[in-house]
Amino acid sequence: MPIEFDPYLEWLGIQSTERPLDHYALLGLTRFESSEALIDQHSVQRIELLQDIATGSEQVEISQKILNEISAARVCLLDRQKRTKYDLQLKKQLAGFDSAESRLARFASNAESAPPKESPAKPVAPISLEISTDLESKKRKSGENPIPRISKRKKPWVFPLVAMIIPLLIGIGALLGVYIFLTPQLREDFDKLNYGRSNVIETSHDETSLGDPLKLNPIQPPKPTTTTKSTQDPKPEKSSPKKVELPTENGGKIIASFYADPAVSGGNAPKSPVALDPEKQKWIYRGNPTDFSEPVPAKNSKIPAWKTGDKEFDGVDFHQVISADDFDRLYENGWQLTVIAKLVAGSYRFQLMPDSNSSYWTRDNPESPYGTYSIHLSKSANKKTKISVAGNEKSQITIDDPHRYVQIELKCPPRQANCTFRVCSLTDGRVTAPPIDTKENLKPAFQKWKRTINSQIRMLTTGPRKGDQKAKKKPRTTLSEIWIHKVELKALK
Amino acid sequence: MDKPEISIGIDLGTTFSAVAHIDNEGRPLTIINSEGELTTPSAVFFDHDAVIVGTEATIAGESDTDRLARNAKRDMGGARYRKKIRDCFLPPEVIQSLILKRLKSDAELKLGEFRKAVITVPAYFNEPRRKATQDAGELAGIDVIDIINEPTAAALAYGVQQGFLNAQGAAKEVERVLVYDLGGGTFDVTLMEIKNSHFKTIATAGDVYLGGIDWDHRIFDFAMKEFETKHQISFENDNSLKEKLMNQCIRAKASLSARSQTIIRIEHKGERYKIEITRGQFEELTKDLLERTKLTTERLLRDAKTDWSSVTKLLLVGGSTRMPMVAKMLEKTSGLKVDRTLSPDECVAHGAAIYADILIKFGQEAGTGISIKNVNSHDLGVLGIDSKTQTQRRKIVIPRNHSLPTKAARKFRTAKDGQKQIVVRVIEGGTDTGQGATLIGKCIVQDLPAGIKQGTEVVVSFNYLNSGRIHVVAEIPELKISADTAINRADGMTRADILSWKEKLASNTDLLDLAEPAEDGSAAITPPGLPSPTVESTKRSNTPQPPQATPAIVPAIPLAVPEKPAIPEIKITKQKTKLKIDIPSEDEMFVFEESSPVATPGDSALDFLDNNKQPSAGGSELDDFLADLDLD
Repeated sequence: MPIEFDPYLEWLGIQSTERPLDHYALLGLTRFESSEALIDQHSVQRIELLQDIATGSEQVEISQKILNEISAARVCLLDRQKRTKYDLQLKKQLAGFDSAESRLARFASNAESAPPKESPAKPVAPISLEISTDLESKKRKSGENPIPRISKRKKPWVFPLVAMIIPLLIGIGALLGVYIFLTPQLREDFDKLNYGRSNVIETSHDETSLGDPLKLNPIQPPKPTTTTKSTQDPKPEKSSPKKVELPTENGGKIIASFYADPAVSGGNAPKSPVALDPEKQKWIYRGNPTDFSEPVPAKNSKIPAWKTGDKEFDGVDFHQVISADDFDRLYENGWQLTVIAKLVAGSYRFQLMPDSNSSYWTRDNPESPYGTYSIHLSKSANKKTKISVAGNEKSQITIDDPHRYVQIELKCPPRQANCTFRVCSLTDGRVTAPPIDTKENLKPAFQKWKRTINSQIRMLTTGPRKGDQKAKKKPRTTLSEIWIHKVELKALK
Repeated sequence: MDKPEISIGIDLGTTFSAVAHIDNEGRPLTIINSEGELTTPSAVFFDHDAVIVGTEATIAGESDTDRLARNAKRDMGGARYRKKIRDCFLPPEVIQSLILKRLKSDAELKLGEFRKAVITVPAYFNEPRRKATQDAGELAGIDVIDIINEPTAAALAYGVQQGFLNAQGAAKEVERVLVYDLGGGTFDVTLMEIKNSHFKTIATAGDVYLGGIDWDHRIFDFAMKEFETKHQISFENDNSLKEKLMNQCIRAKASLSARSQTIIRIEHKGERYKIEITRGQFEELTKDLLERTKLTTERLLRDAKTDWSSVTKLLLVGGSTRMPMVAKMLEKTSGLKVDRTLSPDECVAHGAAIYADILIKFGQEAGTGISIKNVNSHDLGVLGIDSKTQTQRRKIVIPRNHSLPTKAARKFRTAKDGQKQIVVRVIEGGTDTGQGATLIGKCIVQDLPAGIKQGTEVVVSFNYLNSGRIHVVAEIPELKISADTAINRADGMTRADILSWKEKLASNTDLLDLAEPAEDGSAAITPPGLPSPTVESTKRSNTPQPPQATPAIVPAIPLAVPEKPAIPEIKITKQKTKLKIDIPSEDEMFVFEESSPVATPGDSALDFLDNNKQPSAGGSELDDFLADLDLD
């Protein structure tokens, strides 16, 4: 048998430069070809060719192996779910996105030497990494690029799955009005919220150095394998972990949680985990809903200035704090995103914004929670909140609004989402509510809206850009606001 | 003869074999083996002082894998069984013959001595593999009266069961039966038409390397990974543990046909470990394999120029069809309900026994009112050089799925001026460029007169007989020179090999002492169908073989050379098979410039099919062919 025999080249004419082969190359298709007819045609042709070769070939075994490979490629690419997953993996691979194993290996080898600067596999510190601080805000104002992490995102699609950005757009024309729970009064209220059931999280940040209202607390669920731990928290802890309990639901594992933590933001920290009082499960707001005064940082605290006038909310970019392992876990088991926010009077629309790479989050997929969700809160707390949900009937979003607290739950079934996923509230006055009776009507308005949002998201995530600066200067009226309490990402298993 | 011949049919399977005979009332019956089972595992264990075949061999093999040979059917047609048995290579025929021997002796316990039997082969087996099967029979002391295709046998068994062969059977309507035969190691799908007692194969397709074993291996790989990750068991370099796990996986597969989940247990260093596998997982692991069978089935229907609507029965044959996924897939694609009236393990042996009965009682099909028509499962053609591109091209002379017997001819032209000889390389299967083709013989016109011009017409005609024998004639009409040959299956055992092995098997010495030691040129393995000059020039020289008495597919016999008026100054040499290996390659060239069928193939005696497939008309096909070449 010839030693250098390359069956892929000899039989299928695939050049030796194309190794390792992906399913598309094996079938002679352009990468990410989605036409099922083409996939079918190519795979059948190749299988028949190989069957002819196999009957008398000296390389029967090899031909059988390739036949199985082609058949497996065919099965995978003709199955929408499988293809979505495969494409994700392939994209990761092509972008050099390290697998969990290679991350580990890299980390192990880097443990001795200094880690490379731009390494995508750089282990992410679990906490406080993405929080904009006073310092950062100032930098932003002075025009410096305040968020160097964005530069790590060489290709947006490199970080698939739940690279999650949650810009919340508030008010007519107001882009970034996110009030974080900062005022003493609010903190008081917040204390009464249900903190804590079963999940105990370790917040390993240094209390004295932190005043961030939103904490990045990716929770490290116990893993079956011990190997991933090392990547999770490479930084030595400066103080003993503080235990904080988060509201959770039954089952599932919280992968990451971002929340306003009164305990570390100078508020009235609960001395001990608050026992769950069923009566107090409701989210109640006792403050004055019309009081839009700026939250003033407590003295001597480093609470960032997230102010009404200079609303900055960096969004939550989960991929910065979640390990590849956890992404895999989320992907495999499905996930749930919970956003708990306080709304004040006004109109909101929430729109799930799929990444264009996703075949799951599309209008056409009846399983997808794609759609527009409108919510209107009147100023009177007694009036019943109107919630109208448009979009797909089967969507799994739930808007829970006992009074003013809105809980948005977004579930994604296993092995579906490989997209950058965004949740936005939309009360942007510049976009009129798109008619949603027909797809055609929706389209232009949607696109316009999308453009707007995209530019806003860029601003949120990468700092102001040229075009955005202009938009920022537009006069805005603040009619409605969202105060984010918590953003939580949970694996369903 | 004192007592009537017993009609025996043997289904020599990759993983399991079965024997059946025809009882006094004319019904086929499976013969229970000496262990009380209907089927015998096709496994051979070479113990220190004896050869063990069957269930006991698989058990013994767990602890001493070096002495276990299984799935030898997959290597039939090749020179050696893939694995060294105690550092020795054995021909696959020998391993198969040991199985046949055991089957024979078991059957003889019940029926008394017999010699004649019909052995089945997958329809998709090529000629070398068929020849090897027959040789194995001979080595086992069986007079192989014929070889029958497994789906044909299954259809026969079905026909008998449905009463097609009875007097009343004549009134029955035509049945178009799709036989889906997924065995242990091979997959065959065949479309047959049964009308009265005429069994006609319309088309066949398959994979010689696709069967239950592949499903086993998927479970095996899965289980090994699971054990490694969950229990930290290392299988590396532990063949015995692997063999044990493999046996567990085979059991698990069977169990998953009945249950939705099962447990695989192994014992390792005194500890017991287990993992679970569900049917869903199993089906997911093997989806691509099932998809291959589906595509092959669809290809068959395309080849037969028909679709599911014309199929009236869906017969499942082979133990692997017990897997629920098979019936589920077929019913979904075809819209038909699968027929489970036949036992998938036994029906092939039953059909073989019925066929043996016909041959023994009537000597041949004629007179019985029963007719069995086969097709050739592979394209038969000639390798040559394309005149325009100077690249190798295959020209099909008899396309696959053509009803046998048949004749066909094509015209070719010589490649250059002054060719001294013309070599017609007859191939089976392969692609248009000749890749993967099996060289089954050569027909050489030698010692041509000087001055033959380039482009001299050469007519190559094939005569494919029902027995599977192929006669090839190469003729230069201009010069009235011709050479003919009966195709001698290029590989496989020679007469001398068979006789020598027969002696070895008869003597009671350790077989392995006699086997070819592995060190002896182990690089020179000849895979199935590989024309290999090195091998040819050494051990497996294709010496002409003496005629055999059986009417079945036999090693080719040189035909009596018809007397031809010889042109005095031209010496004609008639070659039986490929002879020389030092033929200058330039002289082997042909060009495809012109060709047309000079004989109408096919015989229409039993031509009751509307869409009976005829070899396509040469003219238009050639045009297409040349058009294709122009594109290149």
